[in-house]
Amino acid sequence: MLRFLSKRVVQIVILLFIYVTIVFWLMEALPGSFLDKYLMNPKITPEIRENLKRQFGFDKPVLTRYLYYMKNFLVLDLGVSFSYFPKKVTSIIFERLPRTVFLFVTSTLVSYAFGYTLGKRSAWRRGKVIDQVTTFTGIVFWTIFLPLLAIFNIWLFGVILGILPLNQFIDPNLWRNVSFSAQDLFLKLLLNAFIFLIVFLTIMIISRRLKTINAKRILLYVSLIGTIIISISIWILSGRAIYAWDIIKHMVLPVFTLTLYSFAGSMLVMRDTMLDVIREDYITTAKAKGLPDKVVRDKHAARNALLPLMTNFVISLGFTISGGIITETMFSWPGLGRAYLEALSQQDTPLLIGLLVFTGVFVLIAHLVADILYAFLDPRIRY
Amino acid sequence: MVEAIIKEPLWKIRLKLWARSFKTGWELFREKKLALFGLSVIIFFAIFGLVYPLYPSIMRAVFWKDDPFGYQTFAPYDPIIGFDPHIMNHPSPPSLRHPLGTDPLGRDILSMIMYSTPREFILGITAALITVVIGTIIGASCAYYGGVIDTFFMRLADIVMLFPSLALLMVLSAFIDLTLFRLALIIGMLSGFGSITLVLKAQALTIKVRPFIEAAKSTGASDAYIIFRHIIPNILPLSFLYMMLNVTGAIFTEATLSFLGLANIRMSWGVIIQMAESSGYLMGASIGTYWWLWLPAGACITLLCSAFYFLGRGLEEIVNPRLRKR
Amino acid sequence: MKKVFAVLMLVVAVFVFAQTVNWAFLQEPISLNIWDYLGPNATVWTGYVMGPRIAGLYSYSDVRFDWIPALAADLPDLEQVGNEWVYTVKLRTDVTWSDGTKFSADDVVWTMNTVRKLIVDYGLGGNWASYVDPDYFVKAEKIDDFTVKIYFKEPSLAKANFGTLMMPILQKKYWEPKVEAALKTGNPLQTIYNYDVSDEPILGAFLLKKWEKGAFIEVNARKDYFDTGSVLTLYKNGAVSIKNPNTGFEWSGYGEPKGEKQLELVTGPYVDSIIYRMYLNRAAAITALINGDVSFIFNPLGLQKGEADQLAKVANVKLISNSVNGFRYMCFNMRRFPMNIKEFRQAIAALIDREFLTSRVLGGQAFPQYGVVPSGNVFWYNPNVEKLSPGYGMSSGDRRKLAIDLLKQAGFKWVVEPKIEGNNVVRQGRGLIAPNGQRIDQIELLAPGAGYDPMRATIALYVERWANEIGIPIKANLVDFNLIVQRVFDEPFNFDIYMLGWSLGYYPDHVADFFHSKRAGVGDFNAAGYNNPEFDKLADQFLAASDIDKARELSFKLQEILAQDLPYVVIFDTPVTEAFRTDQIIFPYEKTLSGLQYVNGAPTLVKAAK
Repeated sequence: MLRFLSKRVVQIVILLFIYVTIVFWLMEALPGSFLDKYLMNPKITPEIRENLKRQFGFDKPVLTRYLYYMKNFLVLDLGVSFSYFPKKVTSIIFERLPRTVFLFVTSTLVSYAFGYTLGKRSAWRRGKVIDQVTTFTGIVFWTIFLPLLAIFNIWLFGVILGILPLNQFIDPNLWRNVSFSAQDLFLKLLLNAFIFLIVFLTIMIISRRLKTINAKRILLYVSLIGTIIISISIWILSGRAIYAWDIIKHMVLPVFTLTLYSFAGSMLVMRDTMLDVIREDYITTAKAKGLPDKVVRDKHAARNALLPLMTNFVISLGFTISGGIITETMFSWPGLGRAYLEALSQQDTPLLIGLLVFTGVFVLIAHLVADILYAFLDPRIRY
Repeated sequence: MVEAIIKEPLWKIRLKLWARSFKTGWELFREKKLALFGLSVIIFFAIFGLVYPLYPSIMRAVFWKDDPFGYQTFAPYDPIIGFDPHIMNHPSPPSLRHPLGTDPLGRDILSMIMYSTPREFILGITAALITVVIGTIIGASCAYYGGVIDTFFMRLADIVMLFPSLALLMVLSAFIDLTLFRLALIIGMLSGFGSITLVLKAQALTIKVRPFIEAAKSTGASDAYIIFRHIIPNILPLSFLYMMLNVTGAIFTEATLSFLGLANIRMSWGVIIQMAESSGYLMGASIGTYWWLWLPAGACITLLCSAFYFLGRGLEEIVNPRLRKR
Repeated sequence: MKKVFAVLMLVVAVFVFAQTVNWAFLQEPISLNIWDYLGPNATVWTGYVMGPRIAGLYSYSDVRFDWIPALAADLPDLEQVGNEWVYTVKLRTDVTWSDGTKFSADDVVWTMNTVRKLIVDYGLGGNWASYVDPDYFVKAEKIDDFTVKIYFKEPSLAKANFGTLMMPILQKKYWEPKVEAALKTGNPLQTIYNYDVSDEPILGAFLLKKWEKGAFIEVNARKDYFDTGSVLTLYKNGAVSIKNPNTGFEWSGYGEPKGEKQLELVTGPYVDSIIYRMYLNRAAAITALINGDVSFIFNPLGLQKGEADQLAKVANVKLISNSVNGFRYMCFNMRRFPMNIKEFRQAIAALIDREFLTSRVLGGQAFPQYGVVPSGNVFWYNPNVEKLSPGYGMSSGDRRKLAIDLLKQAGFKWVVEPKIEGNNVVRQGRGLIAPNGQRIDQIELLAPGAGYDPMRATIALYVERWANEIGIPIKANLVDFNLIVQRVFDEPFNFDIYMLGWSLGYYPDHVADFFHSKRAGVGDFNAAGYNNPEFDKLADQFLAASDIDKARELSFKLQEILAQDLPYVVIFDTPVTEAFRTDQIIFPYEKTLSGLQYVNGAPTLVKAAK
C-alpha cells in the first residue's frame, strides 16, 4: 500500500510539473495582453504602456519568466494578478474558494444522493415504468442547456412564486451592520461540515464493532441527530444563525438547478453498476434465502454498487471550475469559475494560469483520494 | 458469440456474421423504446436539415410574389443577414410569414434553426468520429504493444484529462479562430486523447489475451494486420457507442461557447440563444412573452442531444453483454 | 437569542430611519486605493465608487459640462514668466478633509509634485498620465496657505485646464509618510498600490463603511462635506454661479449671472448611505430592479432593447435615454493599397447608409454618427460634417452610383462593370482593377464577432455585401476583439480595414491623438497612418490653444478635414438607456451626456422618494 502510494505521489508530482509548463506556455501564447485595455485610452502613450509592461514584468524574456514562475510555484506562490494588481493570485483564489467549494460540494452531494436513490430503484425494476421514466427525465434534464434551466428556475422560483431569494449569495440589508465578513461565515460553515464528516466516519468505525443491527442503528441516528442539534445550537448561541441561514437560503436555487441538471449522471452510473452486481451469485443466494426484496436491494446490491459511484463523486469534485463558469455567472455567485471567466476576458494571464494550476492540483489530489478510497473499500484490490 | 468464429479469414463469412449480428442487434434494439425514439428524432432532424433549401423558395413563392425586389434586397430568409422590412417591430411573434417569428435583428428564426441543423450534425459527428478514430487506434496500439507506447499515451491521457475542457476551449478561442470545423477537431482530439483512450484500451486488453490473437501471431501476421484486422473490429462496437455519446458532448460544448460569445460561428442553435440573451430577451417575464427566441433553439439542442444519448444507451445494452437482460 | 433579537432590532431601526439607496453593479470594483485606480487598475466600476470620494481644483458642472472651480476659489490666472507659463490658483478656505483637517495649498502642491516625481523616477503609469504630462507640467509651488502657482512649459487647455488642474488632490498628512516609506522598499509602486485605504481622509461626500467582498459596498454620507448646501446655477446666457450659504463662498463666471436659468441644483448629499450591490449578469440586476431590491443599474453599455422593452411595462420604473460621447467606426490602413486612395475610402463611405442601418437593421437601437467628435458633445461638435460625408441623404441607388463614379474618377476599372438602375443592382461588379492595372483580390474587414458586439458584426456583414455588389472584394472577418487589437497594434498594422469603437473624454483632443502624423508609430493611436501636414499644423495649434473659443474654431476645421479625407468612417453609436425606480429615488436631472452613470449616479444630488 505504502509503496503504491509513494509511486502515485511521484507520478503526480511529475504530471503536475508537465501540466504547469503546458499551462504557462499556453497562456504565454495568448494574443494580446492585459495592457491592451489601455489601447482604449489615447492618453496613454506607447511609452506609458512600456512603463506598465515593466511593472508587470513583461519586459523580461519569456524563458526567464517561466523559470521564475516554476521557482515560485515550488513554494506555492502563484504570482501577482494583473487585473487585481498587485494582489496575489493565491489570495484571490483563497477569497473565492470557500464560496465555490461550499456551493459545489453541497450540490454534488445532493445530486449524488438523489442519483443513488433513483439509480438503485430503476436498476431493481429494470425495464419497468419507473426505470423508463427516470431514465427519460434524467437524460432530458441532462441535455437541457444549463443557462436556460438556470434562467427559467430563477424566473419561476424567484419571480413568479417569490419563495426563494434572487441572486447574490447574501442579503445586503441583513449584512450591512455586522462586523464579521461573509468569508468568515463560509469558513465556519465549512468547518462545521467537516466536523460532521469526522463524526460520521468515527461512528461508522465504532458501529462496525457493535453486534446487533438495532444497536448500530440507534448509535447512528442518535449521534447524527445529536451532532446536528449541537451545531445548530452553537450557531444560534453565537448569534450568527440568521446569517448562516441567509447564506443557505441563497444557495437553495443554484443547488436545486444543478441537481436537476446533473443527477442523471450519477443515476446512470449507479443503475449500470447495480445491474452488474445483481447478476452476482450472492444476490441470487440472498433472494433464494427469501430475504425481503427491499433488504436485498439496499443491503446487498446497492451497498456493493456504491464503490464506483464514490470514486466518480470524488473525481467530479475536481471539475468545479469548469462547472462553475456558467452556474456562478447565472446565479451571481462570485467563485472560482466566475473568476476564470473574468480573468479570461481581461487577459489576466497570472490569474488564468493560477486558476488552471490550482484546479490541476485539486484534480490530482482528488484522484489520489479516489485511489486510496478504492483500496480501503474494495476488498478485492490489494496493492 | 461473434468473436469465436471470426478466426476464419474469409470476408464473406465475416459479412454474413455482421449481417446476422446486426439482425439480432436490431431485434434487441427494437425492444428499446427510448432508443427507437432517439433514432426517429435523429432521422427527423436529418430530414429537417436537408429540406432547408426548399424553405426560402416556398416562402418566396407564397409571400413575396409581389415584391421580388424587396426579397432580393433584404433576403428575408437568409439566416445570417436576413431582414423582413414589412414588419415594423422585431422581434415579431410567429406568423404565417415567419412560422417561428423573427429575432431582434429581423431574421427568420425557423430559417436560422433549419440552416444550423446540418451544421450541428457535422459538428457532432465530426468531433465524435475524430474522438473514436484516435481513441480506437491508440487504445488498440497501447493494449497490443504495451511498454513505452502505452506509458506515453497513458500519461498524455492523464495530462489531457487534467485540463477542464470548457476552460481550455475558452482559452483556445482567444488565439484559434474557432470555426465550426476547427471546434469539432479540437473537441474530438481532446476527448480522443483523453478518457476514451482509457476505456478502449481496457476493452482491447481483454481482446489481446484471446487465443485467436496468438494464433494470428503464430501465422506470422504483422502487428498492423493484427491491430487493424483483429483487435479494432472487436472494440469497434464499443467505440461506436462512445461516438454516439460524444456527439452530445460536442453539440453542447459548441452551444456553451457560443452562449459565452467565444466561438466564431456565424449561426448555430447556441448563437440563437446567445442573441436572445445579449439583446436582453432572456430574462424575467420576457421568457414567456418572447418564447420563440429561445424555446425552439433550446428544444432542438435538448431533443437532438438526448436523441443521440438514448440511441447510445440503447446500443450499449446490445453491445455490452453485461447489461443485457438474462 | 437576545443577541439575535438585538441585531434584528438594529436592522429594522436602520431600515426605518436612515435613507439608503441601493444601486446595482455588474462587476465588483477592484480597490479604492487611488494610486492603484489611476495607475494600472482603471475600471469603470472602481470609478463609480471613487468619484464621490475625490475632488480636484476644477471640475465639470452638471449637464452642461462647464469647467468650474471645485476646490479652487476662482478660474486660474495665466501669465508668462521667462519661458514658463504660470497658472495662479486661489483655493477655497472652507474645505475640510473627512478627518477634520483643513484643506490647504500644501495638499495641492504635494500631490502634484509627488505624482510628477513618481511618473518621472518610478514610472507611475496608467491614467495619472492624463493628469500630469511631465513634458508640460514643471512644478507646483505654494504661495500662501490658499494660493498655489502651477508652472507649465507651454500653455495648453488639454494639459493644464483639462489635465493637471482637474486631478484629484490627496491629503499630504496621510500620504506623505506612506509614500516616503514606500520609496524605501524594493518595489515602491507596488507598495503604494497595496496600501489599505479604508482609513484614508477624503474630500468627497461619501466615506466607505463596509465592503463585503463579492456582495456589496456600503458608503455613508459625510455630515461635514464642504459643498453641502451650495447652489449651482447655470444661466441660459452661459454664465455659471456657485453660492454656498453655509460658508459664504460665492463665485460666478462666464458672463453676467442673470436672466433665465437653465438649471439650479442644491448640493446634498440627501441620502445617508448608498449600497452598491454586485450582480454578475444583467438579467440578475434587472430582476432586482423589477423587484425593487435596487433602484438604479450601472451598466456602461446601457440597457439592451429587450431589457428596455420589459422594463417599460413595469410600474414605477422609468427609462431614460441619453446620447453618448463615443462612436463606432471603420479605420482604413492608409499604409496599404488601395486604402491609401482617397476616392476609394470615399466610395466605401458613400455605400454605407447609416440611416438605414441604424433605424431599420438595428431597429432604432442606434443612431448615426458622422464625424470624429460625437454629436452629443454639443459644444465641440461641428454640425457641418454631416453634409460633407459622401452620399449624405441619398437613396441606395444614388449611393451606389456615387461610389462607382468616385472609383472611376480615381481610375479604377472592372472586369465586369457593375450596373445600377434605380435602386437595383442590375449587374454585380466583378474583378476590380486598380488605376495601376493591378487586380485587387481581397480586402479584409476585421470586425468583432457577434458575442462581443452583435451590432458591429451585423454592420460589417452589410458593408461586405454592399461593397461586393459593386465589385469591391471586401471580406468581413468576424474575430475576437483581442485578435483585432493584436493585428492593429502589435503586429503592427497588419490589417486592411478594421471596425472598433471609442469612448471619449469631453475635451476633443483625441482628434490629435488619432490622426496626428507623429502619433503614427508602432503601438500608437494613429493606426490609420494618416499623414496630412496641413492637418498636423492645425492640430498643433489646437493643442497649444489656451482660449476655448479659439480652440473650438480650430477643432471645427479639423473635423471638416477628416470628414473628407476619411481615415475613419464613423458609422454609429448607441444611446445609453438607463432605468430607475421612481418610487425609490428622484434624480435632479435626466438629460446628460452618456447618462447618469457618467456622473456616478449624481450621488450628492439624488434624493430618496417619499
